[in-house]
Amino acid sequence: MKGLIALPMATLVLGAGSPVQETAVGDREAGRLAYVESGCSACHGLQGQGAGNTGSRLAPDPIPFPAFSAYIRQPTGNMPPYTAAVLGPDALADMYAFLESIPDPPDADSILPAP
Amino acid sequence: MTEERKKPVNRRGFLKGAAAAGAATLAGAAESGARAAPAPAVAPPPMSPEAESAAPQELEVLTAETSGSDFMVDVLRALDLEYVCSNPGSSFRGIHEALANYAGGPGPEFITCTHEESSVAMAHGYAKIEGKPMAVMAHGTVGLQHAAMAVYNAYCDRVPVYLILGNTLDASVRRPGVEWVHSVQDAAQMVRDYIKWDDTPVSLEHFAESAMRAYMVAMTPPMGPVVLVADSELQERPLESRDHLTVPRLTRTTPPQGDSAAVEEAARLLVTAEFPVIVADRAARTAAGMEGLVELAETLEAAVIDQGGRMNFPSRHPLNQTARARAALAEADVILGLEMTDFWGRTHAFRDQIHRTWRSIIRDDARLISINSGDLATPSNYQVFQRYTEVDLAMAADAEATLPALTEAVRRRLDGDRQRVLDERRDALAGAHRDIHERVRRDAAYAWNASPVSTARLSAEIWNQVREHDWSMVVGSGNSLSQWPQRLWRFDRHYQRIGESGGYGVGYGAPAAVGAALANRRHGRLSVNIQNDGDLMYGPGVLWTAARYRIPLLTVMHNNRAYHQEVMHIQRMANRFERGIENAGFGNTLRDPDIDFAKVAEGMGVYSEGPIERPADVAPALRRAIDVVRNGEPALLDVVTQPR
Ligand code: HEC
Repeated sequence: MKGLIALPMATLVLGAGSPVQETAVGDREAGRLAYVESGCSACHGLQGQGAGNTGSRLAPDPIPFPAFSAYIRQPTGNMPPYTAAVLGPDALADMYAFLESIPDPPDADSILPAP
Repeated sequence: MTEERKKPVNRRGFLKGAAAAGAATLAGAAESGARAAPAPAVAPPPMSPEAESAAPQELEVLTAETSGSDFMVDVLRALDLEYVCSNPGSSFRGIHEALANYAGGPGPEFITCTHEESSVAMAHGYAKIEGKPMAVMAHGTVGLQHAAMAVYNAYCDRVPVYLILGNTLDASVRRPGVEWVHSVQDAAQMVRDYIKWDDTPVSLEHFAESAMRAYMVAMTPPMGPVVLVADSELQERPLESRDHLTVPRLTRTTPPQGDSAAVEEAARLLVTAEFPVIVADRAARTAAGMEGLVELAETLEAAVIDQGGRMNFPSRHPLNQTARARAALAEADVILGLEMTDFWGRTHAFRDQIHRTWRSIIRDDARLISINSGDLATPSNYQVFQRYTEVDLAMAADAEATLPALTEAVRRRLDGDRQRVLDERRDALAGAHRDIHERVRRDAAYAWNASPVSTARLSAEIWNQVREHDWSMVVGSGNSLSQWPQRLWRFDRHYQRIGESGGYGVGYGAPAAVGAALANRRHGRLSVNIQNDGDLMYGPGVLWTAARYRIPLLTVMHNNRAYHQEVMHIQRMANRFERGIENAGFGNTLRDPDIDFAKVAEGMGVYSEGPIERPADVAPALRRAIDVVRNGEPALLDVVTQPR
């Protein structure tokens, strides 16, 4: 087996073949449920806060929806792929709405001791 | 030949006077075709007081003044073994009793454990704080079987553990039943692949020498567990005289230092490098190792990445680039790996997709230097050595022992011009360290108010409460916490972090924490364990040991109610095969019923609170628990947490 050179993610996202929605109008609560049931929370945290190498931070301010859904379908890194056979487009839109709804965190200096 | 072996009457049931009668019985039984022990057929009638006080004519000798065990305990006393952790077992009852009653001096203190895996893991944690082994006693059969995984962890983690196994080699004297099934021809055989050395002495003199050798071997890098089998006959046989027995002096080896030519070449490569990076894994065996690494790094003004196998480098030192390791490695033209377990894994990215792929994440022209005592003892069967790495200069030597010479060689090669380049590098690295730490702080704030509690919040709250104390994080720096403590806390003393299990054998955390806390107790340190729920369920009995021996230890549960690593693996499989992506928790969760760890701890005599689900409740509970621990007792808080 030969080592692969991973392309920068942006290249792959643009090059991904599957058509992706440009905008998302989803249902937050359905999205929260889908996000947990589909296992996203297992690697990215229940609020998309990220978990070191296990999963990157997704929220607040998720990456634009086309890149978001393209990555989930065809990840270039270690994340397991979610094909349309197991996760429909509506669920993606709902999840996105959920992630968008997550509020900004408090200012670090207000909660942590000085560095 | 030793004294006790010359004696013809040295069997357990040796007879004086009554011997003739016994022999006659045995002869009679043999004649009639039946095999029988030389015991009376009916119990003797109770003696009258007059008969009891009268001088007996001929009596079976049933007692003795001293035994091989007393001598064995003297040998152990000469070994600088502070404690012996053990789940009691008859195959070492001789030594056990001698530890209790033989007044030859202060003994290793007996610590009762509820499982042999706990005994060994306690010794594992203890050794990483105290820098020397603890003894463990176990049955050579069932005890070692229980202990095996923990022995493997210690082996992988290069930690000395001193195992003493009871066994009865001589089949002709074994008690029927249990003693037979608890006897084995070659006790150490089942762990021989993952220990450094073992022996089965056949005399007390042999025991004494092998006991010294075992300690010496365990403490010579790469360190590891050793096994000494203490035959029960040797233990229990009465000792007539010690005239021919000696307790040898313990020989201590100095660790192997890198070859001087290789050290010079390494210094040349490092000094001429544009961007040298030092990666340290199990490098700092002692506090001096950490100081040595700081000195080398500061002399070179080189980036340092701490892999965390030991506390190698202060976490907030400006040269510490661990939180941006990938970026630092990508820039490196020379990489110095110190006691690396997985140099290949550190320099490659691996993709766990349907086709497993990998790529190098370092420059094609990067030169790799390695100092690794692991190269002196590569095993065959267990694949602990990781993937083969193309190293340009590999010293099979102990990193800590080599650091002073390397630093000296680097110093000799530095001149004013080079120093100016180095100073610029230091400033750039210090800036990168500041920036990345700012980012870490911002990242910690996400999901700050979430329930279950985020791992960042949990880590930050604990840090807030312990930072004013002289603390030691004994367990909890692993991936399951997303490395939050390493990223957020200020670690700058060697005992503040001791690495992880080594073999990833789950069940290490709780007992290793108790063992490390036992070592910390004497130094008055506040020991902190961030404890995974699945790990604790392997051997929660060690909480009782902590309570029984008043071992001050703060345990905070990272209770995500799952074997979460496995949840993620099943998720990966389900996605890959495009089915049931909602079933990743199948067989992997610890729910229904949820485990009430506060109750578990309470039942073991440990102060506890929980389950704590609201993040705001963590800090007050921590304060109460720390009060308990500062008063010399263990305490456990059950915090329900996010997965990672
Ligand atoms: C087994 C762990 C795992 C699961 C499950 C998982 N992810 Fe990921 N995800 C990752 C990792 C790791 C990354 C970082 C890039 C990589 O290695 O693929 C990532 C990256 C991403 C990214 C790209 C983020 C960026 O900024 O580039 C998005 C978007 C994403 N995941 C969304 C999701 C969603 C939505 C789900 C559930 C449908 C999900 N992930 C499930 C592990 C996971």
